[in-house]
Amino acid sequence: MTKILLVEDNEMNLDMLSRRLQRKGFEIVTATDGETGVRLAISATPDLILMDMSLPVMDGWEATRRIKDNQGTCAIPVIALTAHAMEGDREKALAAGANDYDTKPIEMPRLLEKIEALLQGKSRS
Amino acid sequence: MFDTYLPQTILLLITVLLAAVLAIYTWKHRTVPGALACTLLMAALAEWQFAYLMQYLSLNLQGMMFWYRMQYIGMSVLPVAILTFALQYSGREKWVTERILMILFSVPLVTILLTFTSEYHDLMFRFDVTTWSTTYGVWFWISTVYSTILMLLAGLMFILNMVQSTGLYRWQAGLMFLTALLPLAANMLQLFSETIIILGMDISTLAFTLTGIIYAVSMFRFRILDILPVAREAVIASMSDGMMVLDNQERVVTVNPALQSMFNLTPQDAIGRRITEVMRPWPELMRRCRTITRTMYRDEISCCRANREIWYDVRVTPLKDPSGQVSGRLIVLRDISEIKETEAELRRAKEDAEAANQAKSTFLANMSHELRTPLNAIIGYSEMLIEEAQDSGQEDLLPDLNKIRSAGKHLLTLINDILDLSKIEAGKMQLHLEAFNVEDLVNDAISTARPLVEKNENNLILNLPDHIGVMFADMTKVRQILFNLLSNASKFTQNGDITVTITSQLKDGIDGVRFIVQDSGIGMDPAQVSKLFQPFIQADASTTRKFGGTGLGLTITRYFCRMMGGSIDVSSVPGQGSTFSVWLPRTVIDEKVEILSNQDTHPQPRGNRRLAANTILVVDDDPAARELLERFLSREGFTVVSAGSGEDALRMAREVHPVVITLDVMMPGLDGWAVLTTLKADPQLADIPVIMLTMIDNKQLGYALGASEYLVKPVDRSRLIALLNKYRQEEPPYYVLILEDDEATREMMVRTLEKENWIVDQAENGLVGLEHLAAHPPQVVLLDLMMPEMDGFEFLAEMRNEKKYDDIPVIVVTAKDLTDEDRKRLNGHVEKILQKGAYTREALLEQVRELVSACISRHTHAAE
Repeated sequence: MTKILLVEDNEMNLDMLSRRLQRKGFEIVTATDGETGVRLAISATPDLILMDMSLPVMDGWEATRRIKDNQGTCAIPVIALTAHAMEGDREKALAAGANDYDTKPIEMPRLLEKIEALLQGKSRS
Repeated sequence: MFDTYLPQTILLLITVLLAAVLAIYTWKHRTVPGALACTLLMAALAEWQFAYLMQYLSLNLQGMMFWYRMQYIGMSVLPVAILTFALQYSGREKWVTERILMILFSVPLVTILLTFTSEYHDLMFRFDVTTWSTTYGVWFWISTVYSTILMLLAGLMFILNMVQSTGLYRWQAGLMFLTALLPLAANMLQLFSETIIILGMDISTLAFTLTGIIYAVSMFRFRILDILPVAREAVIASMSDGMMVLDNQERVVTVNPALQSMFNLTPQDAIGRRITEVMRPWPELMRRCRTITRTMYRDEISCCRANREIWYDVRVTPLKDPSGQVSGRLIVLRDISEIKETEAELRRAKEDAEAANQAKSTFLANMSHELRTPLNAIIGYSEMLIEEAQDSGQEDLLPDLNKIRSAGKHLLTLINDILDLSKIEAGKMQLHLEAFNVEDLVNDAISTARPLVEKNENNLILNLPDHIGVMFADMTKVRQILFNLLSNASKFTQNGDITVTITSQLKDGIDGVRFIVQDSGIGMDPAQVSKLFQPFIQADASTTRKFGGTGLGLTITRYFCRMMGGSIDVSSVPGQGSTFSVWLPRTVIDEKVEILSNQDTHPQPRGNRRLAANTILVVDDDPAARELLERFLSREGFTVVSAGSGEDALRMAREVHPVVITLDVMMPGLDGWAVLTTLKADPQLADIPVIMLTMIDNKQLGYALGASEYLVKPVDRSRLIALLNKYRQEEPPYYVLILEDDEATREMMVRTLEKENWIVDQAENGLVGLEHLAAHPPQVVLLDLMMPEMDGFEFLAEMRNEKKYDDIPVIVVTAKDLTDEDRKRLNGHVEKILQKGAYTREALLEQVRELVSACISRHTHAAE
């Protein structure tokens, strides 16, 4: 089963998104701050990471950067999620090493498409 | 007696002559206001004094009596003349009317009449010859009081004038006051005391002589009669601008009171002195004033006084004499400190307002973020519940859940609008330019808007020409523009048509795309149209209630259009509908990044075309990825060569010199970064644009090393194609030979291929085909099998016998149901067999194009 690490501090969003992804057949591991996110990326070996950007302890940008800097986790695709729709957020997320980017509120079909695309690309190369 | 006789006579003579000369002089200037009164005054004085002189010189009583009476003419007219002059001098001309003059003159007239008839009634005076004395009658006193009153009035007016005026003008008024009082005093003296002798002269004579002298001085020194120049001086004296006149020796000729107070000067300090001394504390002003000789000079200078910055508007005008020589300068200074201060305040207010607006925008942006977070949960949970309700069969809950979801989504679009506007106002809106297919974009926008269109039972008509092509713009914004227009049209139209028309259009010589959205809805009147693009304003206030929305959509739409160098126009007829028309340049230039892209090494058309045009070198170590890309790209009309390693890539790049290289990063041996670096370091290869296609997202590094584009896998194919199309070169047209006996089918194929700019040769049977083949060997042959004279099989056999035609691929297009034997005959000789009817025109064309490309590519490989 495909395992997704969801890093999100907002309780409702965490609950909602993890339940919806579970319904789609994904196995979900969750973290509510960046530091736990980085740790779980190593220990839980997820296939993909959904990373909120405004997180406590360590923010999403920093967490993404660490995951991408680590030899063991750099191959795991990361989709940055943010409620900031301001310009520059996309670039900032991509600069931190995220493979893709999506804005909240999540549009499920769009997010699933992005997840699928990244998982496929990963299996291919 | 004789002691006083001579000086008295001389004084009187002087007075008479002076008065007479002044009377003549003023008469000459009688057009000047007040001059005529002055003439009368002088004439009266001259007459009076002349009669007095004559009386003085009379040797007998009769003569003496005659001249004594004659004096009363001048004596009685004089006060009226003085008063009239005083009225005019002090600016009370409106009192000097015919009627008032008649009344004023009536008393002197009676006096004169009574004087010459006094022996009959004694009303004036009676002269007693025996006692040598005079007894005055009633009218004499009336006349005297009258004269006194008039002269006092005149004196009062002069005094008032003197108080109100300044400078030269005050002096003049003061003298005038004296001229009114002196005759009065003299008259009084003559009346009440017998003759008072001072220095052997009659005091009244002395007074009158003085009056005459004063008038003369006033006339010539203080220019009483130059009423207009005086008025001009009054203006200069009263104006708030400081004024100074310099002569050509740079001496101060005059300064007005305003300038005096500006610089704390007194006229004594200034007049006649050099300006360098007078204006020593103002060297800057000095420097400028002295250099002006030709035309008027104007400037603003500032200086600090009493810890306050004072601004002067300085105008220097050279004064020229009739020969054109500069004879002096007129300097006018205006204190504009207040204006400057107001300006500064306005600027501050503007900056404050802008800061406040910025703060508002930031606040809105933050607020929008805060609003989106809970909205996220609302939409997400409602969607989840919808899924769960569907799964568990609780269909009855669906309508309500859908309402929650759609309300949430609506709220989201409103927040997005506000966010967009705040971004626009904060100047944070940026363009993300990319190439995209216009047709895809239009279809995308329409499918998003379709629920809105259908909500009001509207009919959507799309006019989208084939081959509308690719745009290089901000795709999201173009989609939003189109969506906004569609959503507006749907909102204001019921049971109508919404027509979307897309065309290519040149505007001012720039290639562009026009998007027209026309509806048959409620329309707008001109007043509503004029307010259309203002934020927060809908066509009218009731619109919001009836139709909803923030009224921001069109503001944002127009802003986006302008940002991309385009425009939006609207035309509307109330009750008939509206048409919104957007034009955008096909290639949008982002002014902010233009400089950067200029430094890029953009592909230059190359002379040495070793391969077919538009060859792409695909570099990827994964064979599956390579094959996928090869197939896809050749279908798009590119010739593809590929390399599985960095070393191969460099070798092939040198051999093939492709138009574009697509490059993976993670490869064994030489990785993508190394390949890229080597490519860019080689002058022969540096001009080949490289598109990075990789899982690794390190755009900065890629661009830094010289990559033209950077795409992260999985590759968005339409995006890749759009990018590649930028580098696609004008292809030399393909040369195709079609063998087909059915004229209609042949025509169709010819037209289809010609539309692609291919050169098409045709033959109706195999024999003709062979002739054409020999005359012009084509790049590809399209072959029908069932033909008269010589069929496809025979043609093929003939053709394959000739070695020189080996390289020409043949594609069979047939309606024949091929038997196994047929296939055996064709096998190895044809590229592909296409079944007529099994393909749409486009698909057939694509197949043909792909096959031709593949053939050419393969043959090049073979040639290596």
